[in-house]
Amino acid sequence: MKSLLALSLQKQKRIQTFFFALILLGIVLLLSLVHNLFIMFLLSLVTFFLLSPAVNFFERRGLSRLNATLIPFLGMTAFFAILVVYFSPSLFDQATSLQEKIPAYLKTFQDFTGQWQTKLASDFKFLPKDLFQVPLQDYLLNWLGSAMAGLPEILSQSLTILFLVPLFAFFMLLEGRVLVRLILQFAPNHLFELFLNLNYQISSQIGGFIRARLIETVIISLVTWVGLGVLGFPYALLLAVLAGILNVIPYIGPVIGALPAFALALSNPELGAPYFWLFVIYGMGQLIDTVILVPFLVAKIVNLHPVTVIVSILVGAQFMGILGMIICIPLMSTLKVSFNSIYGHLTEFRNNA
Amino acid sequence: MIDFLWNPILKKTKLQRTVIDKLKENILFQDLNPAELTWLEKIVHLRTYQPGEVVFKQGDLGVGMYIIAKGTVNIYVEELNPQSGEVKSQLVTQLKENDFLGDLALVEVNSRRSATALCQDECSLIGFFKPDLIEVTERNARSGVKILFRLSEVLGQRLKETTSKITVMRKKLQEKELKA
Repeated sequence: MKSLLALSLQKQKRIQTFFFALILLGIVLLLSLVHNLFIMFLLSLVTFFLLSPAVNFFERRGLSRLNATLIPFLGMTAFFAILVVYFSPSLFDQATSLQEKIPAYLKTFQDFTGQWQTKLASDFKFLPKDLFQVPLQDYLLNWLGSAMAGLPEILSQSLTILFLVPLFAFFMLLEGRVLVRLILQFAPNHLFELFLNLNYQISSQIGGFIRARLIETVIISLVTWVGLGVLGFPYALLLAVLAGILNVIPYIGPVIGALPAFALALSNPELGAPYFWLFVIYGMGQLIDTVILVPFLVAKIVNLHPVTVIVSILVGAQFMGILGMIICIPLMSTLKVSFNSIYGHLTEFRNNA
Repeated sequence: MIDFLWNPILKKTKLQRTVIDKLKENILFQDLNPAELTWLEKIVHLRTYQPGEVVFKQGDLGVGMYIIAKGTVNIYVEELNPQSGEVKSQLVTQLKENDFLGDLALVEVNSRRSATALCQDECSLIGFFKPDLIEVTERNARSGVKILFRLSEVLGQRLKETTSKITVMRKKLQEKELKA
């Protein structure tokens, strides 16, 4: 009788586990197969983690969840409206001016690379001549051409994302916990506490990480903007925003972020080759990041080995390019937390079996 | 929004009312007012268990406590006999409706269950876990403080009982030593 009961319990456990795994798999498939859904989900998650402390603050003050969610949302909209009104003309002017000057910059760049190719070919005569006749400018023009051709599609996608992300984030803040609770209801009893704890650990770790990285991005952008502004370097705002965003990629991000400024200085002799000052400005940003921001904001949140970080960046770049490089670290720490918790649970389960 | 889809508007279901009543009867939540209890009902988790099903095992990582809404839960302590290597399971206590178990896990870091909880019959348990307690304190500090005060009271009471038991045992041991 007892063994019959145990058998029926085992069967029920297996069925419940199967259906719960099916639900989780369905969510993963939905996110990965529906066009743009994964990016929208990620951006909504960033907005969610950014605003949730403010929503909780207003709720603690006695406001309903709806009103507590509406206030930071309206605040964020006002903030972006001010940003757009004040900064977009300047950003737009800089982008337009850059677009107009690209042919001239390319010409300088073409002359520069041509000179170097000729010099290298005369210095290293023993090497095959074809090696120095790589049409670098053609590659660059082709790349720019394809980037421009894809621009309308990227813009339309961005508009859809920009419209839907706040909507998703709003409902995540308002009812996200209810949705998680609803999914957890389907978890079998023996896995329930594990998944509840996993959800909590991942949310707190990723939330802290996203908030820390956003603060870091803003500070690096500001430092670079002020530095380039004092230097009188063109496109200061554009370059500063780029440096701030790319700084999120560990190790190589700051280098990629600084490259456009150096390329601009290289292709524009009128600027007077301010390489030293560019080094100082970008170096200052990195110094503030390494000495102050990372130890106080980021280090304690994501504890990954440098080799793991580099491998994650390579894998991220392989699958999703720059976006992959940016999201690989929070994704890797999510995997680490999940692996540790599930492994701990399984080994514990075996010890007690 | 999801609530609107799943539950009738402005009408508490029988299940919701049962959960609220059970929460109200529990010492940890007895200071909460009706509005706070209704709000808390949306945070706790109602789980059902079959007869013979394990709620948690001794040594498992524990995340929180359970209130028995329906049924009986047996608590066993497993002891390893170092000579024979056998694990002996001993029934320590039987918990009935409105009793609660696992509350220490709410405040402990990396808490391990000190006993095994097994359902004797079909049980309904209300789970209240550490992430839920943190959510309560983050979203409604007033309710959080009320719960934490009561939790401290329960844990203080337990400590008091344990201390008095240890004192009695120590006295007995001293008497034994004196006699010897």
